[in-house]
Amino acid sequence: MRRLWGKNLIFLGVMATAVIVAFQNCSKGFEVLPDNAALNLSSLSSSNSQEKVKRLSNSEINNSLNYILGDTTAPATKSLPANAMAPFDNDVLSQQVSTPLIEGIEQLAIDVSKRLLADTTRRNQVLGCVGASVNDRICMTSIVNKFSLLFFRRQQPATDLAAWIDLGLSQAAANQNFYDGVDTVLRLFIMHPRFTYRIESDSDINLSYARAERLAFLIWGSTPDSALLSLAAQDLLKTAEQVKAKASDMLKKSNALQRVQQFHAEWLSYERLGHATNVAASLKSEADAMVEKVLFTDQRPWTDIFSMNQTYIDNTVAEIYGLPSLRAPTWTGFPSSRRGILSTGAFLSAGAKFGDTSPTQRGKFIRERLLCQRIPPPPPSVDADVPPPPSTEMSGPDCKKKRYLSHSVQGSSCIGCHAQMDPIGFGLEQYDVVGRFRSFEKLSDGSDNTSCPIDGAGSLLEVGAFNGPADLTTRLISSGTLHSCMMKQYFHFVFGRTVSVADDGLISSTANQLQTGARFSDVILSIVGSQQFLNP
Amino acid sequence: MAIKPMNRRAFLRGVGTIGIALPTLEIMLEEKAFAQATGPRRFGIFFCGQSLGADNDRRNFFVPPNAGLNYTTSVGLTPLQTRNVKSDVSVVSGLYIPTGLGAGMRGPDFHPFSYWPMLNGTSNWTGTPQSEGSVIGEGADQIIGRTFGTGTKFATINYQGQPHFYGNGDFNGRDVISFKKNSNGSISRVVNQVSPQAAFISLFGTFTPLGGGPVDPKVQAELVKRRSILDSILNDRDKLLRQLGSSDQQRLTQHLDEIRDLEKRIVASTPSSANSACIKPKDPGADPAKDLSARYSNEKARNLIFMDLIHMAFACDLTRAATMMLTTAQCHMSAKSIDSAFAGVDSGCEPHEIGHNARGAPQQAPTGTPVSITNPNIAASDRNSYVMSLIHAWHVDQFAYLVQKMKATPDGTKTLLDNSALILCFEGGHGRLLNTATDSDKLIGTHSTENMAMLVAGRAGGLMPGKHIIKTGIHPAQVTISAMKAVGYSGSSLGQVQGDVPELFKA
Repeated sequence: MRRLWGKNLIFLGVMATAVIVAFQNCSKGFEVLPDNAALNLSSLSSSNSQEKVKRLSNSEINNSLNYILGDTTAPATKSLPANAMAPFDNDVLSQQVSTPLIEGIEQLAIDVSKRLLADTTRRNQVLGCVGASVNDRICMTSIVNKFSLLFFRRQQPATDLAAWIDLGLSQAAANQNFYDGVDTVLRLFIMHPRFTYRIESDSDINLSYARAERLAFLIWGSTPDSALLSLAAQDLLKTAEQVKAKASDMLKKSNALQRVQQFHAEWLSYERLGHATNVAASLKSEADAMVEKVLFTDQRPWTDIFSMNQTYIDNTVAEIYGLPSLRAPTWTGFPSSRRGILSTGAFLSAGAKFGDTSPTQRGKFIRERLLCQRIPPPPPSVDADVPPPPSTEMSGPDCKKKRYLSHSVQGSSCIGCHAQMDPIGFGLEQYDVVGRFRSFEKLSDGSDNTSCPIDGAGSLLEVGAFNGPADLTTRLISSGTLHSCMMKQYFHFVFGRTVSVADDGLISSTANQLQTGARFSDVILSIVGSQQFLNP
Repeated sequence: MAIKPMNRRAFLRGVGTIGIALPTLEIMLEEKAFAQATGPRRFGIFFCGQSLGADNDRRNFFVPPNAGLNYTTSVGLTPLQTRNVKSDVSVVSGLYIPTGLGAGMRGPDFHPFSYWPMLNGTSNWTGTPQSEGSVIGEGADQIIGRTFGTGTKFATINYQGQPHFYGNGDFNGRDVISFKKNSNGSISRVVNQVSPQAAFISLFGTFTPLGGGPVDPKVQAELVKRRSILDSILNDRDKLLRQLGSSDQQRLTQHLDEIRDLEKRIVASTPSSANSACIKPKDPGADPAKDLSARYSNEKARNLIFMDLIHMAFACDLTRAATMMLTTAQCHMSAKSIDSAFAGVDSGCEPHEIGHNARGAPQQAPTGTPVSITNPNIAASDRNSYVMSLIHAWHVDQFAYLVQKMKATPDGTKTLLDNSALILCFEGGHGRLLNTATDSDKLIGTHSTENMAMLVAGRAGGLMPGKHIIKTGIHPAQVTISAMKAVGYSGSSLGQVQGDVPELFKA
């Protein structure tokens, strides 16, 4: 034990020295970007302008079609190319136009309309009228008026409405089927860029519609509902107070919870876990439940998701955490070594490489996602894709920590960046790729390699030495660094773009709110009442 | 003073006779280089997301040890023999993409972009790590498609069998094999279709071959409807673009351009140039399930469906240029299901890892190993290249599947293969990692663009297949240029790379 502790002191000493040198080196050779710098590569090649044209993400299309037409099949997930996660699915600079996208949108429109029209009950309920004849102009007019508003989120010019009514009726007449005309109109609306894009034109005659659209996609990740559009039609979203009152009301809907769960899952990278299906689902359910409890059920300070000592687990997660088996999912106390969402298997799944945890990748992930810093890519001469030798070939001196020391040789080009990452990852090293506790490295047959104990000692320059996720969480919260980054990430999600200097004031004020115990709803109301939101 | 027009050929002569040319400028382009070839010829680029050998193992079980017509079939090339198409495919080896800032060179990072120059002949970076992945050159398939496919429904079709990256993060460029010139002159990466079902619908959903009986009135009505919907959207173009900033306008313009292209495809009539083998293929049905946890989404089934679609798209003259990524670069697809030799491995055994250390892969050559490589009984320490070539064989088999089908398909007085040039290329070669003077030649690895190889199938334009050609040190884009010339391209360069491989056209 004494020998182990001695080794740790040596390791931490070397790393601590390295960290100090690191910032000197990194600030010269490999610059750590300032806090408000872009977080994704795409932004490096583009200005951080306020884009006014944003394509709906696949999840936003799914949610919108669910609300407008009652289509619950998540058709965009099936038919459209997957969104790039940068790290959010709505990052405007990561959106690519392509042939598969356009063909996919057309096929989606065909499928969605066909499903609706084939289900007479849903069709009549959704459309709101029944075509009495092939040339039922009244019903077609009603359909065009209703759905052009729902799909395009704004009142449309009379000339356009008339053209679409004529198109629907002419198609109905051509095929002697009223619903063939309806099919044409619905497909047109689904395919139209006025639906698939949020286009904030300066020619918007009524700012309330633009605000309704922003509110709906921020809070629900979906299109404005009829009530919201009605407010917009009456121009009742003119003042900040009106907007905040409506936002407060919108938070009571269940899709508000789903939206903020999506934010956490994309931010902390557990939206698409690469584990076995049941393990991935169980881990995500646990994290989702924590978000729900803190933000909605108990309405506690938002940052309590990091400090809560309870969690919601099923038998799969119980087995991972070494807890007694369960018959049904339940809330239970965390083991003392765990605390908050950074202790969950969902979060600890991040940063795996070559089938094992990577202290480097975990450290990089924490710097990027929790501290909003960006570690530059390795220098060209470094091949970061070469896996370590199989563990069967490892002996005591080649334990992981010893091997990683080679990153920190004074004078080497590696030290600059690795010293900012590896010590963080080693502080979480006692938790494997699904968050299971371990005391030893594993041999290739899965048994403990007793020559290689894992001590879990790590450090992060901004918070000092720590051991394990609970300790890291405590220190991150008390340092205050987490709050600012959390808001930057949320702003990226809210606006679908990386944050800019213009956002600094609002980020700072909402981060201060978080530090003083603000709830999620408090933050939302601050954002929607801000000038950035009202008049971007 | 008048500016004298630049003669590109004369200019290139002046810079020497090496394979690498200087950057292409618009003024240098020769219109006559794009003269239409006689009769429909087909061009295809196929891609395997794996290099040709493994780390620290000098042996190579892909590149044949000897040149000429009677070359020894390697483990990786065995399917050419199995599918009886060895005489229809040439192998060109010894290819080399230099690392550096020169024309046609690649940036220092191997993944994800180092293979790009062989597909568009241009450098993929400008000197900084952040610039890696720059695109300044149009892809070979796009040039062929827009030059010779103007009368076809699809200038190009671009497919991808591997739907997930399976590794950390997203593809980030590893799924790119084609580069398209936009209406504003910029070049962008082409997004591949990953859904075989969507590809089928796009090609054949409402397709009736000539002589295939009367067109179903319902199909006709659906075409009219689709067109009227797209027309209505395109009529809104000016209103949509009004008062938008330049970047917003560009984004929306690209979207509307794609809608316009879709409309053109709907309007296009069934080609009269379709050959007698053209039929509407059977609907492949729902795509094989994507399985992220198994890291295998039945890529083999997906690839074979795509191959069938490409085959029939060529036969029906729906397109004359296709690309297909059988797997993506830095392939993390599990090898567990692709070959019986891998049946016992865990899902972490994947092409990329095998290239590095054969993690979890079988240690010995399986029963049935060709006599030419008589069971090498490879030791664990150096088994990697052998195991890797089992993965190559998996890819070559699927390429050979298409070659075999095209060989059996009549096309006028010849076969479809006789009128085609198809390339199979690989992400990397097998050599020094950075190909630089400071790079130790004692190291040999998979992250290398030395000793690359490409397969060229078909007989279009006088290609004489069936041999192994060793062309040490030439740029792989020169093989691409040869295939382009075979289908009628009369230029002598692709992007910044000049010259072809004359031996491909000699007996």
